[in-house]
Amino acid sequence: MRKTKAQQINRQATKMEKIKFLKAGSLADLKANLKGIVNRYESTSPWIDEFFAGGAWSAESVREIDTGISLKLPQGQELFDLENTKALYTALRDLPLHLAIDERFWSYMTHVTFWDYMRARWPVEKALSTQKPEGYLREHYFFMANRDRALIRNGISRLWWYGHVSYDENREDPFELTEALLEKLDIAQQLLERSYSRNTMLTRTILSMLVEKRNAGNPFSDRYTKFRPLMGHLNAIGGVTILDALVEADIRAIVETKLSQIDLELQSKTESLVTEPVVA
Amino acid sequence: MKINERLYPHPVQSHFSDDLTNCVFQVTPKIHVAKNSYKFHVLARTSSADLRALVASGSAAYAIHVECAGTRYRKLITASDEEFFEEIPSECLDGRTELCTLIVAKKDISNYTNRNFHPDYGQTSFFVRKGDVLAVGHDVFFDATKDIDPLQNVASIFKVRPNRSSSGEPFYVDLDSDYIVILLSEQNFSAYSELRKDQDRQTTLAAMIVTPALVFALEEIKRSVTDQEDDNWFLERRWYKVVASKLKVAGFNSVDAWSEESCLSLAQKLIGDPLSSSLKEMLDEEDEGSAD
Repeated sequence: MRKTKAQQINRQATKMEKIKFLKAGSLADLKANLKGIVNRYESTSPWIDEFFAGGAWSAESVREIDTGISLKLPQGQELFDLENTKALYTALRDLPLHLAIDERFWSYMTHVTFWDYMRARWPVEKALSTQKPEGYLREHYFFMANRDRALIRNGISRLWWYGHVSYDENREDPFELTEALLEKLDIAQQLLERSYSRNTMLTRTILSMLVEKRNAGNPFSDRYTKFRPLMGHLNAIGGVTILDALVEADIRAIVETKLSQIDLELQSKTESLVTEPVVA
Repeated sequence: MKINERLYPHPVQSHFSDDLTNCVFQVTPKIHVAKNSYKFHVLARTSSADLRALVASGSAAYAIHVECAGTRYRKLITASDEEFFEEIPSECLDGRTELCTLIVAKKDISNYTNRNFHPDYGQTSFFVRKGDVLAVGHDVFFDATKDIDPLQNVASIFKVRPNRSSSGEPFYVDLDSDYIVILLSEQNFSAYSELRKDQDRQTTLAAMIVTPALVFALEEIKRSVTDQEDDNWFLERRWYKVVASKLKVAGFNSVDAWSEESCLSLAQKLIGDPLSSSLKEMLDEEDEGSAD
């Protein structure tokens, strides 16, 4: 019998290893010294051992995870965030929540396990010309201070969390909503950096509608004309209405109404451009 | 989610407006930390008879909105009884957790009127949508951190490390992690490492290094609160939680309460008075020296 995509995704683990993470004191040391060690982030290989000069800077959990994950390196404009989300989340789908929010764990992943990927996807060179490259490093190699955004800005944890908020095992392709989420980076950012996106039902409803509308030839992923105004509209509604009190049908109705309004406004603008006389 | 003072398109019973007069809405959530969960026991009361009637008829409900940024957890818990219970697995919450206390509409209400409306509303009725807020209580915050012990040694939140920057300042304090990290220039760190081997030098080192770092941290917190910075960056830091927990034991229940004392005074309450002890030690050494 032909396997569904969900069944295909239940791959065999390739390399089970004990979970490793930075010790809290070592993490604090690295972050405090970031300004003075920016150049280390240009290294082609992990350097943490050398930084701590042989001291014990990491610890192990008794729990094991599959570390046989291969992440695709960016090629030009192609970032492979979707492919890498699928790869990472498939391998780490059972990661307990307390680890999924642990900066020590993800900082180990960015500095050691996936160093090559981080160098290619989040090279420090992008930030060297700015006044504070250490801010860039805090954001992508560690957790930034803003906890709302930390999980989806860290270079590796973001891949897991993209998968976690969108993976739906009830679908033929359980990553169908992930594909919608990552169709454009702006969608992930605009949606997941709003607090209402912590409501799983709401997030998946919006992603489902993105898929449905795209398939019907009426996408609303364009950031300026449709998606951002829609996200802003939901935010405004949330000021009066507790969005979490609504069910999927209510959210769909709100989104449909707003999209219809946007379409009318766009149509009206287009018509006025066509009908207004050109003044010589 | 925090519900700041705002204007609603319909009258809402709240502590920050007089949309409804001669009535109050009070919610008292009690949180019990069990082995693997947080148990909420909520008592919600409104003295508005019309709001109580809406709840009794199923058109509205008492509610608490629970949100934790650290775990991306968010849930609305509703009930038709004034007393209700809820249990949330402990792994769902980590760090600062916000509770909003509310009465929300469970369905559209076409002609909402209330005997407690401010007289300015006259006979006006309002359309209220499903999910709309009808009453707002005070927000409640609690820290779902499982291992902050008020008895924990304050000294444990400090780390002293060498400053790796080429222009390493002699003394620098970093607050952007779960520890207060004191960076010393390579030379100072070398001297510190040598001196701390001597037990007799501990209080002197604490006076020289830990006290100013702690004063700095407390000042940064006060400044952040005074400047009304939105993100309150320090709230999720372990060092802050230990400090706040110790100060609470000393009778300072909030950062606002801290403003009554200087940061220098607060620091000494937290770590004792290392200056006096180290001066005494140095005098004792002098006496021993002259006695030889």
